[in-house]
Amino acid sequence: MAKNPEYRDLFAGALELMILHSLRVKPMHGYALVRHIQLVSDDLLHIEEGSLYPALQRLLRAGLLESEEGTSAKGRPTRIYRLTREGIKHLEHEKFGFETMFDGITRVLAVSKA
Amino acid sequence: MEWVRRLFSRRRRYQDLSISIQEHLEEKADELMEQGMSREEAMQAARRAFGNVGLIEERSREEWIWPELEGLRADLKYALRQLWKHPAFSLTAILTLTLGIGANVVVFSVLNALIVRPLNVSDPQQLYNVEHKQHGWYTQSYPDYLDYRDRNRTFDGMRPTIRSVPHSPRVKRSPRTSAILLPATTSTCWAFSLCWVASFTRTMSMGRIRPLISS
Repeated sequence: MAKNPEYRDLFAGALELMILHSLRVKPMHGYALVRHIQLVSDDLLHIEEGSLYPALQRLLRAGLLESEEGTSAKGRPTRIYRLTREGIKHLEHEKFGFETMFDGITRVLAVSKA
Repeated sequence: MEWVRRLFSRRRRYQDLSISIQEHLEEKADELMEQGMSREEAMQAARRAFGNVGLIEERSREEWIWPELEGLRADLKYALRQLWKHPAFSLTAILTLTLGIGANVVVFSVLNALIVRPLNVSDPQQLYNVEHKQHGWYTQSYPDYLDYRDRNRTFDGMRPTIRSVPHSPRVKRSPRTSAILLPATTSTCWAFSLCWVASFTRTMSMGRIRPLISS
């Protein structure tokens, strides 16, 4: 899903984490979500639609998100996704797990040659 | 009615998904049009960038379908693992089920034979099979049968038959035959043909005719 600059795939759960965090900041529709992640990552991350919509459905099914009727910036009908209370709890839990993992990876990579 | 609610809820989800994707394409096309593309070109480019819309919709819908099947598969695997880990319990459960199913089959077979599909005669309770009291044989000699038939004052009628070969034309020539006493209330019994008797005997061989012990 992360195409720019080297077409490297994200690890499992990263897309869901970013979706949940972005929607916690502000409820959005699908296209706005793609643009938001692209913008805040300074164009480093491009979300593929082929991954986004299945991920959204997975999160909806798990009860972490809910959708409601709304309109886009251009006034067209769409569906706005927002976090549920369960989604907020899940996000906090996942963020802690990811931060621990990143911390571990960073420490391992920080070790210089003997 | 939970499944009806879920069915409609799922349809609504699918509709929401289509609306979201359509809006996504439109918004992407708007952006491209702002860069100078025509509407048609912009929509084509948006679709290319999005990928196979039908496939992505299908993959998204599958998120609602597969977890249920996956859950069922996981439940089955867990159940089999538990059965394997506790052989005594498994054996008891299997035996209990076997006995239970067996008992049900027997009860149903009896009820089916007696109540659901009764004999094709007006009063099956009045049918008797003549057996030897001394020998415990199911069969009679043919001369005995002739004696019973000629001296019969109790039953409406009597027919010889061979149990194992009910349709055999050798019935009357057989040295040992069973005899069926026809019910007193069944006046049409006299009109039975040999074939009718034979088929009648076949039902008897299924154990529906009460034995009448002769000395």
